[in-house]
Amino acid sequence: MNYFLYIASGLSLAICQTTIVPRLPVVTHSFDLLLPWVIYIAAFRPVHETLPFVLFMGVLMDSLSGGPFGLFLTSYLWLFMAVRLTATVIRAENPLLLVFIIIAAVVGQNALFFAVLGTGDDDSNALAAGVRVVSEQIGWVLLVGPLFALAMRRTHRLSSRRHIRKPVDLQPGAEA
Amino acid sequence: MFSKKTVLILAGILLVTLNILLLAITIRRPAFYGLNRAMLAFAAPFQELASRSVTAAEAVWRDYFALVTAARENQALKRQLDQTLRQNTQYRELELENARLRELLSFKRSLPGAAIAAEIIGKDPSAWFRTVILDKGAADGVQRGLPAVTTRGVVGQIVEVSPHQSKLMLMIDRNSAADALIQRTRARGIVKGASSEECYLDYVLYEDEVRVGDEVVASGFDGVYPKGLLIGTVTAVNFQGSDFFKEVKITPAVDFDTLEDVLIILKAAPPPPAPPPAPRYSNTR
Repeated sequence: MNYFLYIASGLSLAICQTTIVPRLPVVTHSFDLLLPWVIYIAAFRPVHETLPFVLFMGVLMDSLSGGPFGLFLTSYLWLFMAVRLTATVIRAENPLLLVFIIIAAVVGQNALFFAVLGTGDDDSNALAAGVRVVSEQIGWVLLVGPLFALAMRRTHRLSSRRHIRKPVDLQPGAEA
Repeated sequence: MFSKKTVLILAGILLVTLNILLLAITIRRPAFYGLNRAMLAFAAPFQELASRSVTAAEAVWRDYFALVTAARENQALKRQLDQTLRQNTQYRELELENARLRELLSFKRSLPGAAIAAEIIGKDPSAWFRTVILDKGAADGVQRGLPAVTTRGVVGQIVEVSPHQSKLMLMIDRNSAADALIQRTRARGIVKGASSEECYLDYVLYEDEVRVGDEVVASGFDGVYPKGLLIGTVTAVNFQGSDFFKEVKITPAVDFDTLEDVLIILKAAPPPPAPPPAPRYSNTR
């Protein structure tokens, strides 16, 4: 069931990002909608269960993009590892913190893209374009990021509740 | 003197007599000393109040039912209007699509090779690249390297092909390049994308004449884009940066934001022989 949810949610976000979002008249440069998805599964789900899906979505996005193959894969993988490490020391359930992590992820992903591609003839133009793109993406994260954060927290709580088991010593008929 | 019974009988007879007398008088004179008017004046406000109250209650009752009916009717009409508007939008979309396809069809006849129309079904997920996914692939005869055009001009080049879809790199992608000419002066250069809404015409010699407003067309020397197809219009010419070349900015002829359909030229015309290199540039200004 979980696997189906991972794949369905990831695919929906990818399709939304490549077909619906570009048609919205107000959105010029949307942030990568799969970044919150990667953050959620990295922060709240087990590695062995989710890592294959992160890799799969990275490959899928690389296939849909015109960039060098592996850019999205790399960004997702690094983000996944960074969030796993961060989640060991901080409580990732805080919505504000989640929004901050999404912003950091957006900046990180664009920095990676810029590092790989931003070595063109006219660096000042590329840098200006990059700053514009990242600013707009951060603006969108500030607008819709809290919704993603709340959705993540809600999903996590529902999922945790589902997995709570009764302690053995409290079950009827069990000996202390 | 008289018993109580006798008094009552006498009083009754008196009352009846007075009554008959009064009737006899009032039959002849309807307005009896203005009493009826006074009573009328007294009762009228109450009557009016009662009457208005009943009328108001009737009106409320009637209006309520009328409103309920109107509200139901309104909802039904709104639904009908929504449906009609939706249908109208669909018809308008079909009409526009029809016009676009007709335009593409007539343009297709003017192209040097066979061409196939393809629809854009997805856009690049990254803001750094400008590619789109088309709904035609290898099964439809699409191959890597084929050019895509519209009636407005050059769109880009196929960079990846799957059985039923293909990826098209737009002219404005930073990895895109095409051999081009300034139509008016035949000055030659390479059109390169910048992943923004504009392109640059690189390697235009310093001494070549280029003006804002000049049209840039495909030269055909790259063997990809058919010669003469419009690429864009010069919007800026800068002289800084290089001793040999001008920096020419181009606004593409195609509006990539509203692009929906393209024509993929399946068999590109053989490239014309490239002109001999002309060693005519110098670093003197």
